[in-house]
Amino acid sequence: MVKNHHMSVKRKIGQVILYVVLTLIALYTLFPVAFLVINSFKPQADIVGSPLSLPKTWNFSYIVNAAEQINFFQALGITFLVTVISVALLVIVSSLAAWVMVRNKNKFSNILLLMFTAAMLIPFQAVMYPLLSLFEGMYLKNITGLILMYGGFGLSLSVFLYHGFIKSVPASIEEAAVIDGANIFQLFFRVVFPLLKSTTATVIILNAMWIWNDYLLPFLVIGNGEVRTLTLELYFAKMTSGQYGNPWELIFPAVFVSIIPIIVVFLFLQKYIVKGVSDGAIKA
Amino acid sequence: MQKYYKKWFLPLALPSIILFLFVILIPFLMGVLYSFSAWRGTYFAGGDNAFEAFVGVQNYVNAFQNDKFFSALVYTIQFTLIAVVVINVVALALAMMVTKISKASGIFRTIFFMPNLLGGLALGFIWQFIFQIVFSQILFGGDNPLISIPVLTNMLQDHYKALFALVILVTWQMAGYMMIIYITGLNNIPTDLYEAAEMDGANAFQRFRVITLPMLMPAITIVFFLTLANCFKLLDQNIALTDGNFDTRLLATQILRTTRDTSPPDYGMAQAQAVIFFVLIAIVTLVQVSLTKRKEVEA
Amino acid sequence: MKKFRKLLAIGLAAVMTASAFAGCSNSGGSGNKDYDFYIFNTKGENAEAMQAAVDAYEAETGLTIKLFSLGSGTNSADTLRAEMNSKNKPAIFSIMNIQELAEWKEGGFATDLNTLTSNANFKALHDALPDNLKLTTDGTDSYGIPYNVEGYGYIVDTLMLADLFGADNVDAFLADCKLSTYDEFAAMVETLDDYIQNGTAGTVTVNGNDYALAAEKTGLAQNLTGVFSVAGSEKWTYGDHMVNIAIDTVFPNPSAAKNATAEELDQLKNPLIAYAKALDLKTSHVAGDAGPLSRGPEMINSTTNGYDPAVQKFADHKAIFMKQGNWVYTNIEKVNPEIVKTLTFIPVKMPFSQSDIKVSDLTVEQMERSIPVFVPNYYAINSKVSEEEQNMAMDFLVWLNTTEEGQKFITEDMAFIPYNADPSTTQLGNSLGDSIIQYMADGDTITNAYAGAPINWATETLGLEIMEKYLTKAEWTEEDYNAIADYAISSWKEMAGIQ
Repeated sequence: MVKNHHMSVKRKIGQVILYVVLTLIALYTLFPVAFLVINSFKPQADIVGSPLSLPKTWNFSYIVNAAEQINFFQALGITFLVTVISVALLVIVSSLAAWVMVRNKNKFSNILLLMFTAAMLIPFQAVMYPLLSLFEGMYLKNITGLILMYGGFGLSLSVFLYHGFIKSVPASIEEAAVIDGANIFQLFFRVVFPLLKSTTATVIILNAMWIWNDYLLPFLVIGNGEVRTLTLELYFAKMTSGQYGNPWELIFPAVFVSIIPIIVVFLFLQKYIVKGVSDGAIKA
Repeated sequence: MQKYYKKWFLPLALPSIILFLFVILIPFLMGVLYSFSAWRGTYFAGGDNAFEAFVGVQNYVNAFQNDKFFSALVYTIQFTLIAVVVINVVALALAMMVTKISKASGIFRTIFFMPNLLGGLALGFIWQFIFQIVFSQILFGGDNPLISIPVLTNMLQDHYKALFALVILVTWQMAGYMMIIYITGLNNIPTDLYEAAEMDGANAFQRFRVITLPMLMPAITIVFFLTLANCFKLLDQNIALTDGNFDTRLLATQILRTTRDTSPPDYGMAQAQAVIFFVLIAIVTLVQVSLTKRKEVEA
Repeated sequence: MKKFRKLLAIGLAAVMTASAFAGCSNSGGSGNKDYDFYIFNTKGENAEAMQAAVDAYEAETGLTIKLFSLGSGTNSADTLRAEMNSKNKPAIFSIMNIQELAEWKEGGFATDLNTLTSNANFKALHDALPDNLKLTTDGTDSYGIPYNVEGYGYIVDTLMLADLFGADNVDAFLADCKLSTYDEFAAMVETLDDYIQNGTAGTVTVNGNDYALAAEKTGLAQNLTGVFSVAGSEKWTYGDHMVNIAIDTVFPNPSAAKNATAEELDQLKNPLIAYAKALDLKTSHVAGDAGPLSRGPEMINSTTNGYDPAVQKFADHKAIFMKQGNWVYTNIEKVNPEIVKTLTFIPVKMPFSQSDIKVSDLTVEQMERSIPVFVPNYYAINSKVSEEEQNMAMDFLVWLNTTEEGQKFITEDMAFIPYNADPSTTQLGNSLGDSIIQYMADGDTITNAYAGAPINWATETLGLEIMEKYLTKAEWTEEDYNAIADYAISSWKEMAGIQ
């Protein structure tokens, strides 16, 4: 009895310590974000002079100004479009390929898998310049080309994830469907694809996260164009205002508005995102 | 059925193969080819194409003789070693704490994961400000510091301090992501193992060493792979914090900057550095995966 | 397996064709374009004004012109290269100096303007370009039409001078200050610093004439925290422009510097020591936010002591001098529209002796009263666009530089000093620009020879060394001056491949 009581007190103290430690780390984690938010409402002099103080007034003019400077709504639309189409392309192309690769066990499909996997190790710098001149030659240095590039770069991981999952899906159901007279597309989209839902979620989330935030590829492909993604707008805003210094009263609110969409999406979908990350990792 | 699948193999795999060819394989092989030529970005010096401007292994020789490349290589290795260890320890500690508490673990997971969603360049600018002003002039330095810790001031103005500034930034960004993977790994460990060990009188540390660590090996393999690859390839954060000043270029930055260090821009040598970079990443990750996989088998 | 081999063969063939294709696409080829010609402008400061000029020209001629402007500095080179690799190449593009020219000349993009004889108006424009403003590697070839000319020196807060020496003495003081020796200037800096920090009202002597400081700090003088406002984190301010004064003692122009010999570089030793001393003087008397800013980590903090904060401190009357060029005019105006009205330049002085100066006909006195005036950027004509586009591009440059309307855009909208301005008649209505025009009229200008130093030597090598090792160091010794000079010479030699 006494021992049990002792244990539970000990457990309770342990829990309290854990909560205190976790809360401190959580505050530390949130600090840069909170810092970003309060400084999105201040003029340059206050930001540099007293960065930790709350704004004197909650003045939205810096945010409005920043949103205008980075063409927020247009850029948001373009980023959204690029991300969605790239991810959709990736999902379809890689699931199809992974499926037939699993179902055909031969040398070629093994080599293909090996190549896809090895490509995950190629640093972007190693293909960057030749890729650009190749796509230029194919008249694809534009949004379409950008989407195709994301299709290529996201392919390795996506095929890999689908491949790992489909291995555990028995082929017998498919056989039955073929005997029932389904054609290949009915077979895949009605029978196989629905079974891959959890992997599809993982593929969507992992790819959407980096495509949304990617800066270098859009810069190289469409940097000098009328349509720009959010990260590009942010970069150009910093470049063109404040010729050499840092225009913090533009940078802070611009970063702030550009992360709002992703935070909102995250809060709504966090269950799936967290699951997607862990599933993706465990299968890989 | 085998025949049926065989018939559809090429048509269905073709889109992937084409994308792979044009986005990865062909540019990669072209890059290897260019690395043996006097490529200048917009033209080839001494010829109309890479074959006419062939210079053999000269670009590789130049790369290895380049002090900046060598220093970036050393700095990248130092940074990666420290960052991988720190991120892993922090992520595992977070995972173990979050799985041990009874309530609100979801909120903590969400908070710790969030930095990962934010882009490297944008957050880099904010951390630059934090290191320059908040750390240096308010919290740990300046006229009236909260606590005077000189080591944490002006971290972006010193070769080694900047390395730790970078570690602080990437740990903040990546630890939450890795924590999620560790949590999954921890949840996969059957609880009766712990109960049995406790009955045998094993203390917390022994339980961790004998049960948690071996059972967690698959997750550790993955987290090591991800952190290793990400840290080795780090670019945005490096540019945003120090932009390579104080001899703090990482390899990815060095490759990007090579074309600015030279006139006319030596894209051939930059490409040679990128190929060396690829070989290094491949070796390091393959060695790491095979090492940790072996541990997994033993476990 | 057979199939695999076939595929491998196809793949390899694809790589070969693709490489060849990408190689070819660099030269010639015409894509579908929706403009008549394309201007790539890398001087971001004039982006809006350039657009206005292009709009006016379009309205006048009915042509469609594509204009792309990007801020000078970080990524403009990468973007320009991407455009040069594309099918729709710019007909007019910017080249900063002969180091940048190397790439575009070797690649066959930059056209030697001597060969463009078909367009008579353009030929006349080019023929009238004075030799000392040409973008040339050997004195005969010529690759660009200047954007404008710029100059730099110590910008003086003349409103402050009135509070320091009395309003009646400002003009005389400035005239004497321009002619003063380095020693007089250095003594003046010490006297001013003593006044600012301790309130000791001393007397300064410039060009042999005495000026007494007001007994009490009144008006703007109460704001002073230091003598100079220095952007410590901007390597180019001391790496490029300041060191140029020393380089000018040995090299008469950029192409001489580009073709430097080991012997000539060794002759830079004494001038570079003089440079280090002048830099020491400047960075020992820096204005901070609330008091003097000494050398140390805060000096090179880009958030508190970068370009914008330095401009801010100067505009807030915390310093008397700031070493900058006339391009800073609009930045200062944004912060303080009052101060810009009466700004002026005095030369950056260094303790040279006549034996240090190797350029013929140049004297210490001439250097003491002169400021560098140079062409910051050139319009180049792209050899790889059609003759038709080249011709339209030439017509545009003629229009911009010779017609009244074009000149109006240059002087008023861009606030530039036209390279072909007649100093005796041109007035910009912009205090800093007019100050430079006055120096030009007086013949008190020196060149910008450092532009011929190896690429990245000035900013990323010497500037970086000074920022990292010296601006964080409180006291400089004779050894430090020596070390700075030696490093500057040895790194130049190494980067230029000179033994």
